Amino acid sequence: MRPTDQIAIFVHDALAAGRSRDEISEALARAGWAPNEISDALNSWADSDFSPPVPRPRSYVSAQEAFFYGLMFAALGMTAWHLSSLSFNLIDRWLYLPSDSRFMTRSIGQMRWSIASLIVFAPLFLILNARATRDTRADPGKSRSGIRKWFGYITLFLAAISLLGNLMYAIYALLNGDLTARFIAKSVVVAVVAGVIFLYFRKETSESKDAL
Amino acid sequence: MRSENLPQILIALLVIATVAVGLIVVGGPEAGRMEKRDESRIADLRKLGTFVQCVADLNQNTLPEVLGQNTECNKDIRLADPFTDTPYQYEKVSQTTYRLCAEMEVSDRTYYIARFEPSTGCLTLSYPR
Repeated sequence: MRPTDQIAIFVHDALAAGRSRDEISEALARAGWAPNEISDALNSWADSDFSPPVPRPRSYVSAQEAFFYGLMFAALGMTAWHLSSLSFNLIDRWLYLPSDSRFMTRSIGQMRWSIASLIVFAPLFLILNARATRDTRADPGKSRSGIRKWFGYITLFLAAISLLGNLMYAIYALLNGDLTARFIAKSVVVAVVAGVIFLYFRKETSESKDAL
Repeated sequence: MRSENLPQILIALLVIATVAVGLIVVGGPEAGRMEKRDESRIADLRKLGTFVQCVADLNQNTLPEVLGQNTECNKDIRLADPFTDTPYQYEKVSQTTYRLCAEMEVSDRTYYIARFEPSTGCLTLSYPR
């Protein structure tokens, strides 16, 4: 939370030096801070004439943000995982091998599970993401949220691991006697899902070049 | 504006396409109900298999010609399909083999169950086991 410390120290020093709150917020705005960050920083010091400025008690991490971004990135993760899983199962059915018959009924159950998951989590992700984009457009400071960045990178990490795992599984299946056509189809699925996820995160992480 | 939302649009399209194809393959809730009914029919047939074993044991180790109730062996068996009321078919194929058949609703699903033939809905068992 270094930027928050920076701005808190600055506001403290400015208030101690006798600057008015309006002057301070104008200076911060000119330096590039967003309105919510400025008001957050000013609100962390009590509005009184006491010198040095009196800090107000605050929570350090926004639980609401944690809930929102946690839910959003969890929904993205579930969507990506089940999209791959469902695609793999459909490929197995489409490029059918007689030696598969043993697992057919189990794959039906797995597909139903994936479909249910996608119906729940994909719209949830899209709705929450639309809301996050709208909020960030109104107040660019939100993209600097530490919570958002941390959850984002954790999700990206998990997505990368799972996609590498899927690729590993496809190669293993190929070596184990899977059809080459199946392997190619599964690799395409992995590449497409990976591509979309990383495209999403490239946009997400480029929105703000600030250090974590 | 378009390229800004490209990942979200792609995700939405991929999900819709995959879910649509998936639903075509797995069928809706009615398909699931048909599968459950078929599963209970197969379970009934297997219980009947054990029942026939018991009856044969009591009948000087010979398979019965016709399937009927037997109070000594009655282990909660159903002699007819509970959903359509058609009786299950019993056929003595040979001195050591018999067949129990039911009418299945989903014949193209591959049930991996030993000695069960999905297309005819028949369980072929041998005596003594």
